[in-house]
Amino acid sequence: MLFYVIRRLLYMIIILFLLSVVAFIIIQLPPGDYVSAYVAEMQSMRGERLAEEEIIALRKVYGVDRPMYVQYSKWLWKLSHGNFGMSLQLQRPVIDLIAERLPLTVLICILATIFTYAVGMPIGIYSAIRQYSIGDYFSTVFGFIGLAVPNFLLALILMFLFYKYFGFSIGGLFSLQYMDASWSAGKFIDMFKHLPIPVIVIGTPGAAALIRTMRGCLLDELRKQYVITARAKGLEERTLLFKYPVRVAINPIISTIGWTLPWLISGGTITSIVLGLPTTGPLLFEALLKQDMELAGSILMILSFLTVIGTFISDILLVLLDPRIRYEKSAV
Amino acid sequence: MDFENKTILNNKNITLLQVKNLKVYFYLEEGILKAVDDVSFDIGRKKVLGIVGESGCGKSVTAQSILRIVPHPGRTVEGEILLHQNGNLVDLARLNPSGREIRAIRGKEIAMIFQEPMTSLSPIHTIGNQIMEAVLLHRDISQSEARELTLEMLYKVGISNPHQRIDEYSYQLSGGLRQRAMIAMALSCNPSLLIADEPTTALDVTVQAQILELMKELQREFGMSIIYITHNLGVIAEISDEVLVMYLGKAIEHANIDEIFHNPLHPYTIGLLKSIPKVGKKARTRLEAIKGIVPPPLDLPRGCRFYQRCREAKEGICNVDNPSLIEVTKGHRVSCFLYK
Repeated sequence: MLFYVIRRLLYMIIILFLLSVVAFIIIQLPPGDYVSAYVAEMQSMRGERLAEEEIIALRKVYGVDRPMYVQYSKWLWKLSHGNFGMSLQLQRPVIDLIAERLPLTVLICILATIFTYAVGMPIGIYSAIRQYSIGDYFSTVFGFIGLAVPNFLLALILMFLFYKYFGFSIGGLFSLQYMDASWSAGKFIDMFKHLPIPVIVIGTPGAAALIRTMRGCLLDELRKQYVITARAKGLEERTLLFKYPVRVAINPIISTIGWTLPWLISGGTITSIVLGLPTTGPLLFEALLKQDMELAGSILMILSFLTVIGTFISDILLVLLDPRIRYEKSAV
Repeated sequence: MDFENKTILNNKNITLLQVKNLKVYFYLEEGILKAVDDVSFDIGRKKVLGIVGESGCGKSVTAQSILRIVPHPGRTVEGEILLHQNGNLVDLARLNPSGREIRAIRGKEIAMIFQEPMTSLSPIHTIGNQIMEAVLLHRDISQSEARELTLEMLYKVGISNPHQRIDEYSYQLSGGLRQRAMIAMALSCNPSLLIADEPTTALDVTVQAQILELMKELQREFGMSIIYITHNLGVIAEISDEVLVMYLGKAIEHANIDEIFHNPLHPYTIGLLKSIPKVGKKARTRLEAIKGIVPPPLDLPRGCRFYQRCREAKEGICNVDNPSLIEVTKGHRVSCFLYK
């Protein structure tokens, strides 16, 4: 087991390195660089035309005149020392920009995850044990709609409904008067009023998918012989259900639980833009548009890191929960 | 009625379970599948009843209906399943299949083992956990006493090193060991009836013989009755006192073991016995087979269900009426127009 963990940690470092290469390439992929994006913006927004010398000077300042591999190694060197660099566009340390937005992002993420599992699991289980009942059909329809409707559309619809029937605007996380205010009880309550919509919007597709997965996995298990064995023993249905088939059916779900970590942060991007949420999603979007290398790269690397960590946590959980996998691992 | 009550009274000490006119139907979209159609039999205390028949003849469903675990969309539509329990009669067919009464009987009075030892144990719980669960459910003892008892049971079913095995998972055991563990689980509450649904079918022949031997031994020790379901007449000969032959949901012959093997009456039983390979027979002779195939069980034609495949079939009789199960000689019942 210890050997397994150490080996997995080594893999993680290699994977993170490869991901950094990919992230870097993807950011550099569109033609031009930060300076050309800046020049184009200046031109279109203010009609200013920068002189050739100025552009060259800017290139030098920002270091985008150097060859790609030099830029990359400089970035990686800084990154590996915990230095996320500066945002070119906002002229502030990347670490500050992310730190500002991270707590609220994490809060929304955690709530959305709880929403996903609190809704998805019970409905999925119900759907499986009452297969082809009205409730099952209802949840199937809900599941498909939840999966098919794009997040931003759901966000718009909910915003509209809340505004129409409850009479308050629900965009953002705070009402106007609290926007720049420091934390107070009033601001806190105000935030909780705004939270349900982003949480529902971000959590719904996950919940819908989970209903389908849970139903499918559990249906497979319910037909298995060991369920009948347990019933023939005289166990009560509910005890039986949760001790055997549900417990087995949950394993594939646990093996993907870690993947929700990065998905909730990035998957919320469009929703966050629509709802005007101060989370990391819109920050990443903006940085990518402007080719703000160090900001975009850092956020991507954080997301990658979360993915890798999430997968790692999932695998460890699965090893702890499923003796069959534990057995294979110890045999290796 | 008076007479019937008297027989029940007289049989109190020898009869354990009476199945009367049992009908179990499956309501499918294509129609009604009569998996068990008017089957009756008794089983005495400490007796072994073998139920034999081809796949789909309703032998497993009969067993499942005794424990009331017939899978959806099957339903027990008619009949009685009378269990003699310390002088009381309980009609299992009338109990709520998920109710308290039947749950108190499952695993305690009537236990069951299954064909697939690979899948009949949970993959993620230890053997010990699953056996102890049954013990703790039906007996008023502590966790540690249950563990002691489990170890003892594992030892009794011939699992060497039970102290290690008790904490192992099913995938760590061989097929034979898993079936032994299943038997240990079934017998842990000392049931009065053990239903064995093809318990050796999925095992190697050598392991099969060991398991069969073990079951005979344990029957002597625990004194339970056994319903042994199989399609293998050789196994039936090894273990049974009585045999019930089933064909397409009907009981077609019921007699003690010697009668079945030496004086079979129903053409189907005769055909089955002829299809067993025998040691000492001339090599390369063809085995006799029953011609034709089992007709699809939905929308059965009128008359005897074996009509199309029967060598003795008489047109105008066998394809018009359904023969009923009648006692030809004492204790030998057969359902065929040849013996009226």
